[in-house]
Amino acid sequence: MSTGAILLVEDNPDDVTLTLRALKSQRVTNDVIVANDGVAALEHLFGSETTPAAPELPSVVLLDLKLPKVDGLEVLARIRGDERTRFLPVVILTSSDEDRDVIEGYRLGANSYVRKPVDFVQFADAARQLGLYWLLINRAPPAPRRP
Amino acid sequence: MTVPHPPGESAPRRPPRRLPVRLRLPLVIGGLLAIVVAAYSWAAYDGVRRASTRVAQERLAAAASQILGLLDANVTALDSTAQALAGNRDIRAFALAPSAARRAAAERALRPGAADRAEVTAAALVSADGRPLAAFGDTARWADHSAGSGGTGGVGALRRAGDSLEYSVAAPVSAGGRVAGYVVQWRRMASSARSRDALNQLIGAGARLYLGDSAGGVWSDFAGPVAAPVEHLAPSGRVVGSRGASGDFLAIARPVARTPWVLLVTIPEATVLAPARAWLRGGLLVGIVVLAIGLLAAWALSRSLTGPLIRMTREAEALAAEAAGGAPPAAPGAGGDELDRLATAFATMAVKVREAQRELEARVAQRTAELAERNRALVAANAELDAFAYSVSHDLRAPLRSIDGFSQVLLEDSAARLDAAARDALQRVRAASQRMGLLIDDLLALSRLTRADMRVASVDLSALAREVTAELERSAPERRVAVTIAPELSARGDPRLLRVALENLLGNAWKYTGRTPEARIEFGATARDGAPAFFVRDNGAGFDMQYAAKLFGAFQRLHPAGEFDGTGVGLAIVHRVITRHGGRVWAEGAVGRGATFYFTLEPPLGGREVT
Repeated sequence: MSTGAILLVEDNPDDVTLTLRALKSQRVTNDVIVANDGVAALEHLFGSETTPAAPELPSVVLLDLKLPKVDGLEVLARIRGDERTRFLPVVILTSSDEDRDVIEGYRLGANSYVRKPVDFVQFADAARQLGLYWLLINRAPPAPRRP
Repeated sequence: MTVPHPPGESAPRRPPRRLPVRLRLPLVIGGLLAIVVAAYSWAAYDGVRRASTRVAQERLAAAASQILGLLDANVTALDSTAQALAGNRDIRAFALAPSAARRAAAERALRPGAADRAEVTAAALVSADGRPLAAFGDTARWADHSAGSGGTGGVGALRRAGDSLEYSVAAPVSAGGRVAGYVVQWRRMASSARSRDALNQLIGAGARLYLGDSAGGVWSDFAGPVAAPVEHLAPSGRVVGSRGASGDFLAIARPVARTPWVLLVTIPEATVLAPARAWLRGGLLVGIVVLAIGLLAAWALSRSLTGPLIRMTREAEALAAEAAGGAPPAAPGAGGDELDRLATAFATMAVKVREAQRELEARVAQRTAELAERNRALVAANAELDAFAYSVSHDLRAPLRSIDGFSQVLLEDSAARLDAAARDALQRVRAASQRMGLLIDDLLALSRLTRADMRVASVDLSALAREVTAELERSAPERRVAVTIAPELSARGDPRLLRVALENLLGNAWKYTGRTPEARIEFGATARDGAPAFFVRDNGAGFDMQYAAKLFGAFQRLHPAGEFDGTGVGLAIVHRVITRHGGRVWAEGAVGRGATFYFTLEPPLGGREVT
């Protein structure tokens, strides 16, 4: 079973603040784990030589595409390429509305693609709907057994 | 650029110097004609000459026979005359028994009668042993003749006597079975001009009759003594060619019976051959005319044959010269005839054409390489543009979100501490950042239009316009707009791009009729320069035609931002789409009276598929 946590992969602190605020203002009370780049996100999910992986998987990953070190599409590819996280819901949340980003995101197995609006009111509304859908309405896949 | 000559085709071989065909052809034809004319003339001349000669021979033989007949009759008459004289009583009496008295009677008898007086020059009575007994006239030549005619009587030989010829005719005076003596008459050979003419007519013009003695020493033409007309001829009775003082003759000689005379008939070869020569002259004349006509015809023919050749040669030489870069053709016409020149020119031209072709190929290869290079540069530039747009899309919007978001945070969290002016300022900050977001989106859309591939298909513009207006009506159900869309308008183009264009044009019409009561929007087509020009017409705010040229530039707006919203990119997008289709877009309008936007989707002359 998932913890009901949200993994927010986002490098821009303003966006982190605003996203957290939007989620909070929409009564989304689930834990939000923030990863500031792709490496941090992968460490959280799979662990590293120094830190172990998180014991439980998040309910949903909100993934920005333009990230330092390892970019969002590569993080997505690694998530889908690992048996443990193969079915983990991933929502791409990004500024880009380039067709090739959208297509590449879906090709790599994103569950959803949401473009961040400039208007904060609209952004907050989108965050609310995302939380509602992925945390309450959507039935998450059963968690795989940890080895 | 230079291309090296491959070996073996550098310079066409120089032909040996020869007469031009233009001259050679007439010369050959003329030569052949001349040979034919000469051979034909000679054959004709020879035939006519043989025929003339044969006719002349026959005529000579016939004439000789006739004349001999006449002479024979004459000889008979002469013999009779002499015998009659020998039978004269006085002469016989004197011969049997000479006496002075009888001599006078005998000499009277010897005197010729009136008929013979012109001819008989002398007469004598000689004894059987040759002594003269009685005489009349000059008998000085007596001795000669007694021998010549002695004994037997008959006609004697011819002999010259002054400017005439004489001959003797003798007859024996017989008495009692014994010859007592001979009567001899000397006659001058004479014939009247008339009888000669008659003879000549008998034997034909140009022929001559001669009488001579068998020894050939004395000759007469019946009028008087003449030199030997031809070289000595045996009286064979055959016609033969012979040489005379005045040229060559055909001649026949026959002995005159009972006389020592020879009849000679001659005709000059020139006379015999005159018809043949005339024929030859005529034939040669005709031949020369034929030759002249043939030469003219051959000349004309050769001109008509070589004319095109020469022109072709000139063209080829000019082409070769052109290919050589305007340099004059190498020694035009040096040596050889037209065909050689043509061949040379062709060879030169072929070399030049091959060079030009090689050069062209090299240039094409170079251009292709350049194009490939440019294409690579273009691809690189496009990639850069892509990266730029990508960066804009990501990075320019993020700060805007922060500005808008934190303004909202302030408005929400610190509303109590802010006065109305501060709240208004924050609202303006938010509006500005949202507007900038829209601008960035539109810019990206325009940039994407520039880069997107075109997929050309048949597009139902009427259906597209209906879909777009339906969307507009759904977005603002409260508005009442009379939309008219002409049916069955279609064109070839990219459906996605044309939809974008129509969205912008119809969206503009929709927007600028927002304050117009009884708003009308029309989509239709009209003919312009033979191609359909589609249009979107509205009765909205319109624009000042003075600024029509500025309409299609990006971020150009003719209305204040407060009046109608928008970024000013829409018409730039339309312009971009129409231009990529090879078409044209323009607008007509007036302030307060609406606007009409026209566009075509093909160049006026058509035929260019824009991809």
